[in-house]
Amino acid sequence: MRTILVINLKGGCGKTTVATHIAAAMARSSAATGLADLDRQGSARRWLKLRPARAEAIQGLDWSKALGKPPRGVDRLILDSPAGLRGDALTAAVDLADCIVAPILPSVFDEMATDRFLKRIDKIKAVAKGATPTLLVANRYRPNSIAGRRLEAYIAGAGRSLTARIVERALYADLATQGLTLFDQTTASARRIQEEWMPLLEAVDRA
Amino acid sequence: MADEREISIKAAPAAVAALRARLLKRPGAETVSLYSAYYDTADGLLGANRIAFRVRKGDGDVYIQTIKTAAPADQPFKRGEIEQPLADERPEIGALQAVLAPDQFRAVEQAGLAQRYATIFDRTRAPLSGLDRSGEAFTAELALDVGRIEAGDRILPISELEVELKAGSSAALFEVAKAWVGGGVAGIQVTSKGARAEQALSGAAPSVAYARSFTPDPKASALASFGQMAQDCIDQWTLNLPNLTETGDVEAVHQARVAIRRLRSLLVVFAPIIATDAAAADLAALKRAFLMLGDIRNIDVLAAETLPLLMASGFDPRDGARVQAALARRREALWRAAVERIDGPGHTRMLLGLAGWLEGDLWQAEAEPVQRLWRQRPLGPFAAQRLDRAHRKARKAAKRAEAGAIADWHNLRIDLKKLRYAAEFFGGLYPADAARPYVRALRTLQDDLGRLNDLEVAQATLLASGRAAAAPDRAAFGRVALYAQAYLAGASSGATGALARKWRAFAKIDPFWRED
Repeated sequence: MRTILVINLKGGCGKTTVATHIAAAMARSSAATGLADLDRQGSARRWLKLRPARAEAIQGLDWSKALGKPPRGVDRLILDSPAGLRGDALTAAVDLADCIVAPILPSVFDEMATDRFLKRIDKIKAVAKGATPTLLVANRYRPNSIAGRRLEAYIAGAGRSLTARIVERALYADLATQGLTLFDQTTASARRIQEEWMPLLEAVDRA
Repeated sequence: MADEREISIKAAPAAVAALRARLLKRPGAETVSLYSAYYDTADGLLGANRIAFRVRKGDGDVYIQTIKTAAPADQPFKRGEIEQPLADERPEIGALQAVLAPDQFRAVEQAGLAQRYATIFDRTRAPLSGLDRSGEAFTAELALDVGRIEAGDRILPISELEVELKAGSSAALFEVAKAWVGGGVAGIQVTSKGARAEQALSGAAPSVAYARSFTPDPKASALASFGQMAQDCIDQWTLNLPNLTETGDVEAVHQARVAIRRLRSLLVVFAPIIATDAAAADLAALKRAFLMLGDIRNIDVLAAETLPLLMASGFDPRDGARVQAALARRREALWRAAVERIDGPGHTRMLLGLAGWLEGDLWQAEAEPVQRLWRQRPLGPFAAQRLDRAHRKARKAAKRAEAGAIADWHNLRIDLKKLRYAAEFFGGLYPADAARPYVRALRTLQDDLGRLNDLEVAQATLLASGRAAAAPDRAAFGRVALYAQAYLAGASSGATGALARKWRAFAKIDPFWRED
């Protein structure tokens, strides 16, 4: 089983969107998939309740009070974490993960918060030893925008790289209200947009 | 040593003149007369190692020695080749050291080489270059060979268009070959000139190709494994073509159908992670070929197994003999019609289309983006999932059959066949002693269900054959069909109980792919 932790201390950067999309993509690729909601707000759990029967099945887990036992028969487990996860809870979640996915919005406030977050998790042993890679995903990205270019410069300046760039689109919010994701769509245009996610999906699948 | 990638397609004698003229219009085209002598030891040591040793004399007294190693049994379009110029017609035996083990070479050296057969033909060749479907450049050579093989006292005609890929993707080879099918060019020439000569010398019929026992590489990705398995199925089909078209041997017909059934089962097993849109028309044509051979196979099973069973149970032997003779005539007619289709342009294009589809990885390119993840995922997890699915489907079918009618047992038979193919495709990933009891019990259950099905199919075949038979034979067919119906009713009434017991015994065996 491979466990993917989606996390950033900054709220509103799209953790649940990224977590649900990774989960739906994995399920669509015929991997038995679980989505564990570590957040008391329960966004991922609510999304799963809306999910129609025709969509690829994802096993939902309520881990909002404590990390549970990894379920049997699941190939890919995605953990959707709350903003502000800290201390022992953060360490425990990172220790469980095979890789960390950190969504970042192209805004100076998000960059500063992400900077603090990355410094914090870099100290956790598994990350410090290089055993657990951290993958950065630009979310609500706008190519050729000032904010987008600034984000690229910040990432390069920090000696890191972006694994994927997810362009800002209204469809993500629309699909979420139906318990769906881009990976539940099979149109030609959906497939083109899915390509934006492929570098992230290939990286988490390999980690 | 270079890998030779080439395909030969039969050219009807009536088409040769027009085809030659068409080739000669191409820049750089020429016609040369070639005389080639093939050598071996008296007891065929090179042939036993599947090596062809040739000295060819071209225009202007130029002698070229060529050693060709066999295409692997599973890859009929790929051979190794070493060429060198010679001062005269005498072969340079030392070159064999590159392809023989030291002790084998010593044995050949001691025995000495003698000419075994010769090929004499005119070759009209023309270079060809272009871009393949994916935009990659290729160069190839087209060569129309017309002449004869002299093997002992046998003379065999040569009339074929050879497409040899010099550079570029293998998919280009099939695209070019397909483009030249038609106008009398049709029917894959699977057997090399040398192999045809050896067959003529030995008097042996072309061999029958069986499914290879495939051992998947646990480190290979799921998608790479699909490519290899699918190629094996197409190769089995292709390698049965010579026997199928030359003798129509019962076993060749059976194994050709097995090859197609394996490929179609493989496509179902891998359906979640591949795309078949680009090959839809060719796959539909392959299914039609499967059904066409099915009519012949049904007669073979009826004649060899079911009719003797009926006659042993007391059916009138005079009617039985009359029906056997009529079935033999019908079989011959169906076989001849099948050969015409198989060696025709439609079937040839279909086979080349499917081979090109596999080589070009189009089944990956067309799939949803997430399916590309299976390029890096190993086969194991996917195999376990698919085996589980097929096993659960069979369990559900068995539950319906135990409570239902004989038709439900036939549905179970079909589900078990798919499960068996999945177990054979993936069984090599697991320890042999783990998979063996399951696969053995599955085969036994399948055989019992198959026998019941054979009786039903026999009835339908008797009725169809009766309708096609000459008037004096129709009454005999009618009587056999009625007898078979009564026999089947008797066989069925006792069978379901025994089948249910066999199913329950099979269901107790642990699925070998499940972790404890």
